[in-house]
Amino acid sequence: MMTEKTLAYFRKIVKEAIKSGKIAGFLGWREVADMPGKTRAFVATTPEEVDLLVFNSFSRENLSRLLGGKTFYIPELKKGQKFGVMVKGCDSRNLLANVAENKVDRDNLWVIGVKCPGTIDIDLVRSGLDSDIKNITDDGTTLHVEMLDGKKADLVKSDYYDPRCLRCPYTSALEVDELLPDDMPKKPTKNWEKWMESYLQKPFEERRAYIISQLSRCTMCFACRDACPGCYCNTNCIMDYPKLPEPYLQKGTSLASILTYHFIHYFHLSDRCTNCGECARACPESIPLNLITEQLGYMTKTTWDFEPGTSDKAKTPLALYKVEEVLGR
Amino acid sequence: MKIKKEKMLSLIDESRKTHVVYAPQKNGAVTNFKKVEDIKSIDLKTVRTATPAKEAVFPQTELIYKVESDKVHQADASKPAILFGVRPCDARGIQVLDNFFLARDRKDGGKQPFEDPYWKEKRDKTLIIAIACEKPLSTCACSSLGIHPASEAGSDILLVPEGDSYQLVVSTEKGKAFIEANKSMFEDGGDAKAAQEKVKKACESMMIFKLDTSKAGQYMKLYESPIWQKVSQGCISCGVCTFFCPTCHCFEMRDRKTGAVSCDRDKCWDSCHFTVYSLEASGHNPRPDVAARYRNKILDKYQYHMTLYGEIACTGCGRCSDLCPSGISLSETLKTLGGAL
Repeated sequence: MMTEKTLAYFRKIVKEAIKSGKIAGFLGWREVADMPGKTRAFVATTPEEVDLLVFNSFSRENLSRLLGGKTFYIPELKKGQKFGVMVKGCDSRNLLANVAENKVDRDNLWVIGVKCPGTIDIDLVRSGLDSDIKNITDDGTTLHVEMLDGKKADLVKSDYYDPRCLRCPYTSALEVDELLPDDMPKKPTKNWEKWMESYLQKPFEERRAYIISQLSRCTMCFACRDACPGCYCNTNCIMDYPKLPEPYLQKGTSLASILTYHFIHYFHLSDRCTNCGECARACPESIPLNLITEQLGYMTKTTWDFEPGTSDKAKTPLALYKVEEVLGR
Repeated sequence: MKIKKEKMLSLIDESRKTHVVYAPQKNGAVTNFKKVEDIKSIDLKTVRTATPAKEAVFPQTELIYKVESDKVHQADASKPAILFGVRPCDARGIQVLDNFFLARDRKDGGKQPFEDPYWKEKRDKTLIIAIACEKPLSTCACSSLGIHPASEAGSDILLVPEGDSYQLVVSTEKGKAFIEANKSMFEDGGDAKAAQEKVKKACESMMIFKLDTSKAGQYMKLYESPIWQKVSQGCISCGVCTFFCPTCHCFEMRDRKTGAVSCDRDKCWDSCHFTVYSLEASGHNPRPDVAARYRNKILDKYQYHMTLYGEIACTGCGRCSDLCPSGISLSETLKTLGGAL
């Protein structure tokens, strides 16, 4: 949740940039009128539209996804003109990772960053209530919920953070052109590496059985792929061409196809996944895909001491080899 | 006519001997329709299952036949089934799908050229027992689409909760036959219509999501309009709003290799939101971008289906808005489109 002052300042600089022709449009979040606790991506192209832009605890979508891949939202730019975008910490890492891989032209972008106060898992809030939400507001420490049956509830905000935000070490957006003032409430954090180590203590068979039992309800809607900022194969995704006769590369939802699809997805992300948690958030079947991504992030860090998306220059470990590796250490 | 709640469950348990029973059951964090193995696992508290009930009649992956060297084996005929605990929006969804899958006279003067034998077989053998909704979700909008939270449309038997029993609204011969066969479980008494009206009123008073359907059938005028870029903003072209829609029916046939000279032929769901759905062999894609694909989905529900069958292919279940990873709301889209007309 942004303070009034910061929101006004943010809208002012965006309006000025649009008026002066510096940017062709600005990609941010706006509230959805009929759905409490949700926001959606929005491109503001006129100063009036800028007044719709917000940033709050429900701005969960990763906007860097919309700058590449098969959903281009960057309009045609005049010479010297840029396209504005607003990023949280996780969005900025994905943007940097894509810039490092030459998938996004950073010179075309004007990036405004925020120090993210963490986002709220609205499905977690809804699942704990007797009646669904009619309206929800956030004052920084408490969520004020008005329910459909007329009752009201005040919830302690720290119980409802999206798990991905609790372990996020990069709340502040990285390498942005403008960082908005840090006046938002601080989010609690939990020791992610410790949690991951205790998770990895569990027997492999147990972990595998759990993941497979959860994945078995996958419908192959590909929301996790399409929401993933690291998936930029456009229409060349192998899952879009399952014309091969192999039984594991088929559109049908056999367990073989489901596992093949997820293996391909996460193998390709093994050293590139920034652990932004979009796949788990997008999943309509609430499959805890974050268990896979968190483990990937942990392994990348402990194996290569590398965190994807922390620099726009760094090459990912599997994309290069060192002479020592060939000659032996 | 009415039945005690626990008696209804034991009747369902009893029916498992002769029928395959599908009912909502908790599966991890969500509730889905699954084959009932244990009657205790049925979850009637969850208002809306993640996947719609159409899955029991129109499975996501359905075996059509098996090929072994030069022999073709048709898939086994399905068993009689009971679809228990379906919500009115999902029951109505199956009714809407009849338009597409069954050979009927169409509103545009033509006749549906083909009847899907796989749909018909399952549909004829499935008894739909729906249950009225006592409370809505924030994206429920069935009342905007000609049905309501206690509507019997599409169901064979509708259960309306009233205290510790269900009032019954029986709308088909199939439903009557089921009740006749299990007569001893049911008792007379109560006013089903009044109970239905009561549940409807109570639930409707809490609904906040409204879909403007007054302009349905006129959206074709906006076909070339740039407004589709605006309403589809943020769409990532995944298949959520189509796979989880109770009235979406696109499918394709796939051959799955099972051995050196054998294969299975499957009927699998497909989605018009997938980039390759409309991609032609030449490389040309008539729906090249997100806006064109989103337009197709909205027009299919609110234009094409109306022209062909005289009904809107939407039941107001709200899944497309609720589950959308990009937060795109159907209510907002219809409002924006209506404003542009």
